Amino acid sequence: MTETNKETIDEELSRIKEEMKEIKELLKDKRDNINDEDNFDDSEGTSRNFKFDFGTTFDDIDIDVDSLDVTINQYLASVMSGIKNNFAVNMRQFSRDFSRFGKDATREADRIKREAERVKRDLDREKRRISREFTREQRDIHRTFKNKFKHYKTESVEYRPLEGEELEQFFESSPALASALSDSRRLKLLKSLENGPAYQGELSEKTDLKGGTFKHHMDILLQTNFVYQEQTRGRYLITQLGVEALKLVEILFRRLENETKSEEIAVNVTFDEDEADIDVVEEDEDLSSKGDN
Amino acid sequence: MNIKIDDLILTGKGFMAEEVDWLDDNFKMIANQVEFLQVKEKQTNTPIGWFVNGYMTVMADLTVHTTKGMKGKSIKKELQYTLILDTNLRLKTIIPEDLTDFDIEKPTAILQKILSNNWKKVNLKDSDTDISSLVLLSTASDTMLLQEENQTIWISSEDGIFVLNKKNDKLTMVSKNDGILNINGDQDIQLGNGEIRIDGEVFNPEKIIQNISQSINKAFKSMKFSFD
Repeated sequence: MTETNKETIDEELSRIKEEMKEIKELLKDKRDNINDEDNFDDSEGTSRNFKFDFGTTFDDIDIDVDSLDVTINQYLASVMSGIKNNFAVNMRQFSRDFSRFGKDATREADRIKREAERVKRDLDREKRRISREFTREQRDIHRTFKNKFKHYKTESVEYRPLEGEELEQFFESSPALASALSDSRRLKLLKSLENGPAYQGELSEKTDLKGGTFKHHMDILLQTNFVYQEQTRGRYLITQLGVEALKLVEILFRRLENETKSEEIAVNVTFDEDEADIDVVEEDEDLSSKGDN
Repeated sequence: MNIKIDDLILTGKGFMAEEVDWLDDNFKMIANQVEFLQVKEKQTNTPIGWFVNGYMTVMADLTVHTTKGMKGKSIKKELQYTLILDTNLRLKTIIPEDLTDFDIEKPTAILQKILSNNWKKVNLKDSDTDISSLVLLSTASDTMLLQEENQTIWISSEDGIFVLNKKNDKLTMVSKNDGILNINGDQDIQLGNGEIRIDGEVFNPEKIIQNISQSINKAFKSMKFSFD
């Protein structure tokens, strides 16, 4: 049977279905109207057989029309079954596809993971290489720099405990340094120079030190290198040592001030504790007096 | 007008400086009983400066104030023979009206020695501006001093290089004794690869002292290191 024939048959079957529906309606009406002459057997339920006369010949198709016997319910059942089967087949296929997709996705994720690990390893390797090269470069720069400036000295001050000859020198010369800071007028001079260089006149005005007094105190500061005097213009500048000395005195002052405050707080705390003791005693007395009563 | 340093000669005129105490801001010259011989440009026949035939003391306060205290140093040096290029007649206060004749045979030889020594390639530009500059060159090894209104530059193989920018109160030092480079202690200074970078920018001495850039290079070379 060719495809064309099949389509034709399907069309005919559809048409037949429609006709069957009409016939069924007619038969139902007839049964309702003429009960005695009814040839139907209701006991057969919904399963009914019909014979059809198409009133024509199907010479062009290879089918025996007379023998065509269609059971509607069987047909519909077979259709439903087909759909069901199709659905089941599709679901199985989908399930298989989904499973395959899942496996593929897992495999792809593993591949990406491996690739990421490889990239990470490469990056780490590159990082180590760059680090090594950078260190080498730094070393070269340092060496170049060292060679270029080998004629120059850089001084670094390192704190270490004084001992031996240095300690003796400390005892000998440090009192002069401390002494230079032991006068409020000299501290005023240093503080005035903290903001910038100044001529004698400007400093005298700021500190009220004039003539011989100014010279006396300034000489002490110059001798201890806390202050420097220009050779040309004669301006006075505070040196790095002078700034540090001034800071040192300021730090000591602040520390002393804070410690004094701390002692005051400690005294207040003790006073509060005494008060508390007195309160307790008073309560006891109250209780004992009540007991007596 | 450009001054060709090897085109300078003595005029044969001069004066005896009895007591010179010349001060200009942070720069001071002290000379007693020394001959000041006039120097001119050979081609233009223009007086350009003086040759000090004897000892002279120069002082320069290359110091600035910072929050950490004073930075820099004062320089005091005695120079035996000195060529002073005074393009804008800053020294006119110490120069008498009448100049007398001097024997210049020996001084000429010394002057030529100075000119051919380290400063042969110096190209001094007498700029169109009114900035007066005073340049001191000496037989003392690689010593040069430029004193202008807003800056003082001292180049010496013994001390290093100091540039004091008085306008901004900034000091640049390439000092031999006090460290490599110090500019008021505020800038971020990086050294390496033959460069000095200040706040990320390559330090170019020519920018600061354009008219004596070659002299600086020369001084660097004589100080046995270079930035090439």
